[in-house]
Amino acid sequence: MAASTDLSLVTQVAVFHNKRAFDQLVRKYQSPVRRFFLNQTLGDTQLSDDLAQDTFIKAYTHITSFKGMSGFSTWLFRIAYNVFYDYKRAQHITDDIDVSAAAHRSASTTDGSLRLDLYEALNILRPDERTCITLQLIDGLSIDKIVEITGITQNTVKSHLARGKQKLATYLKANGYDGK
Amino acid sequence: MENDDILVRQFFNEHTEEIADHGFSKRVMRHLPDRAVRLNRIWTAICIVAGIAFFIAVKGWNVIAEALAVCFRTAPAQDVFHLSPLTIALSLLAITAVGAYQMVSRELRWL
Repeated sequence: MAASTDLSLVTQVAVFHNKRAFDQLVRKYQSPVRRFFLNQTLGDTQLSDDLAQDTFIKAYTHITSFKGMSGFSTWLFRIAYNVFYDYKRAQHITDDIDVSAAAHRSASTTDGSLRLDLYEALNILRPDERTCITLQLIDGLSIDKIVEITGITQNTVKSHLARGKQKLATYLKANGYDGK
Repeated sequence: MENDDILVRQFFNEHTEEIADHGFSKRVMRHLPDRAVRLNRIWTAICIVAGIAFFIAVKGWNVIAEALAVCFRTAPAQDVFHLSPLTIALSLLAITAVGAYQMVSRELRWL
């Protein structure tokens, strides 16, 4: 039902240049897309919003290249993934983002303590592991969808997930988190 | 191993939250490129090229020269608004120039 609604909205945008239909798509997907970038940038709100905006503009200008083979959300996440890695390549961001900088940025958000823990935990992962872990555990995507979005082979995705979970479990236990 | 998986999943379940829009969608919509204007420009360019091609194909300059010749021959007899044919020709030329300038300056704004 949701997929057919998306397809209908995409058709209205592609054929009739209906901006109102695109507005509905933006409102529907702004939260997962912005959250994806927040997780990759370890809580940099301003940068995440800029990259998310770039993602939606790219989606709008390339809407006719959406063939409907996969869901609209998968297609959108693929654009978001490419936008983020293009940005990283352009900025030469190092793999390790300073924890204190991430914490400082997080503290300015509405729920500082909650975000601080999440981004500190995500900071111990390598970027590819972070992407796979957040796509599966936060956005609830299957391994096949993660493969489609990232273009990484299935075995490598599985390996990133296993290694990332192992690192996180060790980190959480070492910091006294027992899930209770 | 399975316990670790459960632990990590639980941690992420506790930390997954929806992000409020707070005007983000409006900002995105304001920054969208105007497809209608782009399409309009493409159509304008196609029509201009087609018009020029048609003008060359039918040797339009001959048609215009003939029409002007007729105008200049008959205008003095018609006595339109008591104006000389030269004044009328200059007025038409000025209007055409202003129109062309408006069109070019509007297109240059989008470059």
